[in-house]
Amino acid sequence: MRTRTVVALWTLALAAAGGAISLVLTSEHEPHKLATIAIAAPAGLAFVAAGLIARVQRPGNRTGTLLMLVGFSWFLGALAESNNSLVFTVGSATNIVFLGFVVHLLLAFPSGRLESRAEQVVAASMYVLVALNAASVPFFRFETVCNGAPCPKNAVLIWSNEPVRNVIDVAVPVAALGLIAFAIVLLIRRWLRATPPLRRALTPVLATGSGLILVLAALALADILSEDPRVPGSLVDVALLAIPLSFLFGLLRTRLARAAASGIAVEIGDEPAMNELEHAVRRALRDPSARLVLWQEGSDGYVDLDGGSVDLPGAGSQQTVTAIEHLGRPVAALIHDSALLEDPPVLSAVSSAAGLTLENVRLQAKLHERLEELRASRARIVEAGDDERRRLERNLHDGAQQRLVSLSLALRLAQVKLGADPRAASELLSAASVELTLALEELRELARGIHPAVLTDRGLGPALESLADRTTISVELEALPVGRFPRRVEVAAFYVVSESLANVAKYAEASAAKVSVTNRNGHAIVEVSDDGIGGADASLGSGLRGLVDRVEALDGRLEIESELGRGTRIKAVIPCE
Amino acid sequence: MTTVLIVDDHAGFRLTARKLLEAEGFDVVGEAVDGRSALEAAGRLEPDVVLLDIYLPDIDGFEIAWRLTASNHSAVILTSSRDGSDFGSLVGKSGARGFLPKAELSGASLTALLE
Repeated sequence: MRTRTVVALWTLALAAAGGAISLVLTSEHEPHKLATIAIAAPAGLAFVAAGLIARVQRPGNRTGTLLMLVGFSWFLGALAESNNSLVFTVGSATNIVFLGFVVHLLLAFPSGRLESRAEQVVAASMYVLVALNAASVPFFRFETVCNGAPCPKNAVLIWSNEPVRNVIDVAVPVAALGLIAFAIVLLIRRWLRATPPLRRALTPVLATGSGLILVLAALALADILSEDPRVPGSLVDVALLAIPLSFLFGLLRTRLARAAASGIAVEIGDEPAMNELEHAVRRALRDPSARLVLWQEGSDGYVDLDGGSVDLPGAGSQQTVTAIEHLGRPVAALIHDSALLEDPPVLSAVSSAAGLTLENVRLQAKLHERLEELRASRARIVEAGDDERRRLERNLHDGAQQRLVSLSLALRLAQVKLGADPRAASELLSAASVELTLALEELRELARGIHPAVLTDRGLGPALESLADRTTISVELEALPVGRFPRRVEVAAFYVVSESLANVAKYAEASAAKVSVTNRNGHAIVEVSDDGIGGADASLGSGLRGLVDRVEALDGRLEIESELGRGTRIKAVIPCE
Repeated sequence: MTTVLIVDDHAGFRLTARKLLEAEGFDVVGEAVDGRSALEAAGRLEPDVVLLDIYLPDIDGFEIAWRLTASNHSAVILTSSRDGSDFGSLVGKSGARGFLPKAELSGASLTALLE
């Protein structure tokens, strides 16, 4: 509702109240002017105010409109305070119009809709009764004395018949009483069947509405049974005033509930267990039956907090699903009492708070996962370093060291034989020379494996050419970088290629491999492919896993495509900055 | 003449060590390539000295040294291409007579340990 409309309606309500007050003040037949003004005017204004607030907060709900209609129709009754016979007559014809709206309002609360057939019949019957009451005015003469003062005459009297008037005087209140009794039964039945949240919403309105209806019933009964009713009419005003106050109380409760909802995140702390969050949601919604279910990516469905699948409540259920989204994607859902749909601000606040908390939990989990990945990666890097050192020590021990030991013994033997058997000594020295050459070659190979000197001295291109020459399978160098990459990038790129080619030679059963290293948008793109059997898996071998760690340590990424029977393609993208 | 059993999985070392020790007056009565065959040969040949490599493919050299010194009268000399300090107190606890780095093997060094 626009602000202009709100201001206009409120101004109209104030004008109506002002008019009513002036009619009461100038009335010659109103004995309790101040009491009437003090209660009746605020009652009408309170209805309009509550109606305006309800319309603004819940534009799709008719409750606000009905509240305003009660307020404005209530002021119509003030016309009967007029001394002018025509105005008095109109007031007398319309002074129970508000009752039709009140019954409608109470039966339709809180959805604003008359849900059951019985409710529709009672509300419609009350409107018919109100209309019949107004239509009967031209057919009877008014009392001559009102509250000890002369009454204005009936300005629209057509034909007065005393027996007919007596019948109407009894029939209208009796019919009204019957409808009111039926309405009370409907309200009590609804309250008894209601879920706790709905019952909470119904209780104040049911209490004040029933209070008004009982007062009206007592008044009508007294009117029928006695010429001088002892039930004061101002009781109606008081009972009526209680209704909008109960609505305003409901609004206040909503605000408190919203404040409670915003406290969800604070209440459950930074790293809540899911069931703590669910309990917090239940407390905030004051719905013990509320459940929190989580959206499961992939299955496009919800699971409960234990991971079990969830059947969402269908149409006709007392529960409803409210989806919780974050940045347009589903995160979770609340399964809650349908009555909470009548409290959209609370539901929205709780959903938002739960959504934020879940998002926080998700981010925390992601962070933990990333930290775990980093820890695992760091451990693997350390382990790979240890393995590498062990391998080097073993290679040195089994290779060059053994050759040098043999060499040492051969030299000593040659020395022993030198005097007695120079020929044998000479043969031993020749063998020692061969052994020394082999030991040197092994040491060179080992040093190259630790770190190829050509990579440091001349860069990735020459280092890869040298590597391709030494590899046992045919390697085509499709593209090599012209300039130099930062040293750490060159080392990582070199090991991606050397480890990949070693794997090709060992496992791929390939006839050839292709290597390409390019510089694209500040990234080194390293690709190694082969025509082998495929089936490589980084999770199974420490070699590929080590490459992933090495590349990710530089904020790069390693992609492995290795479908069975279709060769293997390894691509590393390593940022150069 | 002192009899010797050489235990090492490297054929090159066994051959050179045999030639060297024989040239220096030892009688190499047998060779073994692993721990199991070493125990068998030592029991059968009863050599004066077992020149025993620490790293063998099946049983640890220290374990063999312990078993040999418990059941035979052979003196066990442990050897390795590594330095003796790499093994800490293991050599002393194994029952072996001493440790001789492979690169320092000679008749004189072996005799020095046996004395």
